[in-house]
Amino acid sequence: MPELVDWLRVLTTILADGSFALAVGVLLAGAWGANGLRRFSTVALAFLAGCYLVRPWFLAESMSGSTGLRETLGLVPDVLSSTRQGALWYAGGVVIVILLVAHVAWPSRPAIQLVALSALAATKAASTHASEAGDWSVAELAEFLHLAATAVWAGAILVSAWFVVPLLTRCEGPDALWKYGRRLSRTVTYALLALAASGLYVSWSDMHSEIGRLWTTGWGKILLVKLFLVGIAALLGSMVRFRCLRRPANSDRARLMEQLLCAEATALALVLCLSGALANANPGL
Amino acid sequence: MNLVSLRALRTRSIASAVFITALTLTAPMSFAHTELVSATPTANSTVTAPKDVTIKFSGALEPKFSKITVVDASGKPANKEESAVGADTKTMTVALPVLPPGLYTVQWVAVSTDSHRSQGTYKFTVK
Repeated sequence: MPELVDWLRVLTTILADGSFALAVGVLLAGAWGANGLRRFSTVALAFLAGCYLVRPWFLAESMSGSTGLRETLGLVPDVLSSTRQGALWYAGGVVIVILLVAHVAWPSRPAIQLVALSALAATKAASTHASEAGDWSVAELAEFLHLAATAVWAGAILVSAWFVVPLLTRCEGPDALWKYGRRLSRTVTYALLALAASGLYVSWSDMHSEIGRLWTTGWGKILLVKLFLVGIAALLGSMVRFRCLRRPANSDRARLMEQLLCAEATALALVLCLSGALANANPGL
Repeated sequence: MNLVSLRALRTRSIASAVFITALTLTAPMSFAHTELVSATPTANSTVTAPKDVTIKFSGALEPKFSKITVVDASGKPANKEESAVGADTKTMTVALPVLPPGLYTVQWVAVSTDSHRSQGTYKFTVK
């Protein structure tokens, strides 16, 4: 049975991935003309930094197998000084500091934050199962693309569904919503293509080319549920595109779009939860 | 699509969310990843006293947290030196003194570079 620390590790991964996606989503929404999202970005970055600070403890627990708090904390210096994960933690920490400084000092230059978020995704890709294939390998590149595409899709939809679209519907009307929605839909379509291609490669690599692991292991079952949810989200996204954005803007379709985006956001929030579980699960069990 | 069917869709989404969350919470989770590929001496073999035990794993290892211990039939450690990870980062070896005949157990812990820990044991006999 998984222990409390295992659940805490998964929860922290989900919070970190979710806040990362929201930070990306806020940047994209800002680039598409949405205003007033700075405080959401501040909260997302605060969560991201908080999750990052406790990561060495989870690494020490995972590597040593120790469950005692004091003993595990005592191993943190060893993890940080003599393991690959420790080196990557320092690299990611520098990126997070740059991200926070850019957020505070240069809020009107989102490109700096976007580059920093990409670098953070790269350090995360280098710390996953894909690292077994070596640095700068195709597996690591696919993992990076997968993390970035997930963050773009989930982040853009979550921020749009929860904050931007309700405001645009109520304050600016269908025309402004359609203009925003078309940019959102186009970006999400590219992200979905990258997600599908990289996801196929990453999953196939993690299964060690054994498709049977999909239904014989807990990891595979979680992956199947995640794929199902990704399919639902993609279906809802296509409904937004073809039943709303491809037709003339009006208030009924605006309401329909808002509700479809809410349902898509729910599915993607669950995808992030399952991704957190998969990142901490063993493909062999 | 009218508002009623949208409400039904939202209700189904929430129901699915609850179901999937429950499924996720009951799914087995583990944090081991690197697998044993081969070992010398092999499991359950009978050999003349080996100079060392060497195990090859499927992925790169973290030397600080990976180790091999060989214990005799009474559970007493038989190796005097610490195990070491080879230059290929996937092979771990522990040198052994001349072992008297008897049953020995190899206990290994492998921590992969993605931080996941796996462990196992196997036995061999010295004739």
